[in-house]
Formats: sequence, structure tokens, C-alpha cells
Amino acid sequence: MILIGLLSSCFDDADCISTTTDVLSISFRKYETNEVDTVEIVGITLAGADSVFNPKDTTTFIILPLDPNVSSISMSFSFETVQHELQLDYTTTPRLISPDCGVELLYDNLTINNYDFDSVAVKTRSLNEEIIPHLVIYQ
Amino acid sequence: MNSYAQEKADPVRKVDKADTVKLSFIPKGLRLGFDLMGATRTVIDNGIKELEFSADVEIHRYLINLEYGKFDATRKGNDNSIYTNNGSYLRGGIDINMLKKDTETNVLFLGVRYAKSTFDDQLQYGQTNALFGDVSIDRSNTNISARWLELTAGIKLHITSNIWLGFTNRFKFAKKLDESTSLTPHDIPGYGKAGKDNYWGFNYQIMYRIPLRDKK
Repeated sequence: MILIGLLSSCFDDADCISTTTDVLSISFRKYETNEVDTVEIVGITLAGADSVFNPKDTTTFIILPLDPNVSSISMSFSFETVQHELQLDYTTTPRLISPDCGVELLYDNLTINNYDFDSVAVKTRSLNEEIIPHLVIYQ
Repeated sequence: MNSYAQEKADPVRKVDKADTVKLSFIPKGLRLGFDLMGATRTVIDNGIKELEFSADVEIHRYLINLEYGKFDATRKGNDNSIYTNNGSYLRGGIDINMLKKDTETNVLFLGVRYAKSTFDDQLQYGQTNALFGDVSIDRSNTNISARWLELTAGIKLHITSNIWLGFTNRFKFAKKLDESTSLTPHDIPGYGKAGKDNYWGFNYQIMYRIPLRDKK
């Protein structure tokens, strides 16, 4: 026990491995059949960002960045004939991994505040690269 | 008849008396210690200040321990982040001296501790996000606490007069840290990296012993 302790206290370097992410992954499914839905999105606008996201013509899955400065974000989805809104709340908790690795932000407590899709489900409340999608939109 | 009765009773009385002397639970001494590892770290590492004091009372083969430490750290990240942590910790527990024949001078011990730490920490961080512009983070925790258990092993060697030198090796486990959604702590004073479920610690101590009863 003594030797193990002495040796381990000499090798205390942190690893920079992190599975947290700052992008939200959303998949689309058909409301009535729960099948994967292929949608055609014209553009997505995020509150706080100047850019409009233009996914490829048809898709079943999108990823969107979250604003680290706020705890709520409004998203506007423009489809060919209709527009939908979605508002999400979340918390950001910073953590110093190590002086060498720097800071990471954990996006957690993801909750749906408002939406006008047929249904929206949160699949995981913490943004993590290993568990996707984080959100499923049914329409 | 009287003589026979006397012979039967005496051995019983003698055994009672001998046991009382052998298992004396009157404290033998109070040892006050200072951790040289923390002091060395304070001198070598500009960002860390760590001071730890200890006291133990010897009762038969047992040592009742109390340890108190102060911790102050400033860590500067490669990404220009600054993390500060300052707090204190208290450990209490018992060791048993494995040297059955030499309980007056040297100590080879195994023991357990319950530890509690209370601290404040803060993280300041800034970056430029390509999409959302400048990101500025200034988060802190106030009076957050953590608790854990330790298994200890070590030695205390009698050097001269009332001076002892020794080391304590600690296996820290069963950590419980208050939840915080503001900032995830990086350090726990007295424990180590907050992200680790268990941790090894090491102290190298110099101690002064105050005798509490005369040697016979």
C-alpha cells in the first residue's frame, strides 16, 4: 500500500479526454409511425447568432451549436411550406480539466420550454458525444 | 482450613492486579506534528499553499488522530483560464500500532480516517466563439463541502529526545461532494483532484511528543 501510494502520487497527470460537447443533435421522426423522417429544411435561425444554418437539401438528422452565454435558446426551423419554433432551456457548468487541458463546458438539464411541432422529446439531459440524438422532433 | 482458603484466593487477586497494569488505557503522550510535504510544495509551486498540522494521543496501542490543514491554490490554464481554490479540512480517526513490543518509541500503524473539507472556488475564463461572439465566464462556489474516508498506513520513528519523524500514506475513497451547477470544482482541499473517485495521498511529518505520564 505504501509503495503504491508513493508511486501513484508521482504520476498525477490528468488526461484531456472529454465526452462533453457544445452541439445539440436532433433527429426527425414521423409523429404517427415513429419512423425516421426525411425532411427538407430551408434554414434554421438561432437566437443570438447572426448566421442562418442551411442543412443539405434533405436530412433526417441535424446538429446545432448552443450559446454558452445564455441558459435558453430559441430556434426557428423554416421548411418549404411551414415554419416551426422551438425553445430550449439548459445550464452550463464549467470545469477546469487541468491547466494543460483547459476548461470544458458541460451543457446539462436540457428541457423543452416551448414548441409548435407535433411533439418533441428530450433523449438525454446532458450533451454528450456518446449518447445521440439529444432531441427527437416528431412531425 | 484457613490456610487452604488463603492459598485459593491469592492467585485470583494477583491475576486481576497484573491485567490492570498491562492494559493501561491512560494516555501516554500527545504528539504534535507538521507536514513537510505540504510545506515543500508551498515553496516549490508558486500557485499552491498547503499547511497541515496533526495531533495524536497514544492510548495503549492506539493513536487517536486529529489533522487540520489549510489549502490555497491558483491554477492558470493554457487557455488563459484562472482557477482559484481556498479552504480547509479536518480529519479524525484512529490508528493501531502494529509493533506490540515497542509501543513507547516507534510506531508502525494502520488506521482509518473520516475527513471533511470546506472551501470556496472560482473560475474565470474567456474565449471567442465563432458563432456567438465573446464568451466570458466567471463562476464561483461559496462554502461548498466534501466528505470522504481514508485508510492509512505509515511509520513514526523516534529520532531524538521528544522528536519523531514519520510518513503517512493515505488511500482516500467514498468521496461525497456537494452538487453545484455553477462550477465543477477542480480541487478538494485535503483530498486532491475532485474528479477522481479515489486518490492516494502522502504526508511526511516531523512531530514533537509531550509525555502525559511518567515511564515506569
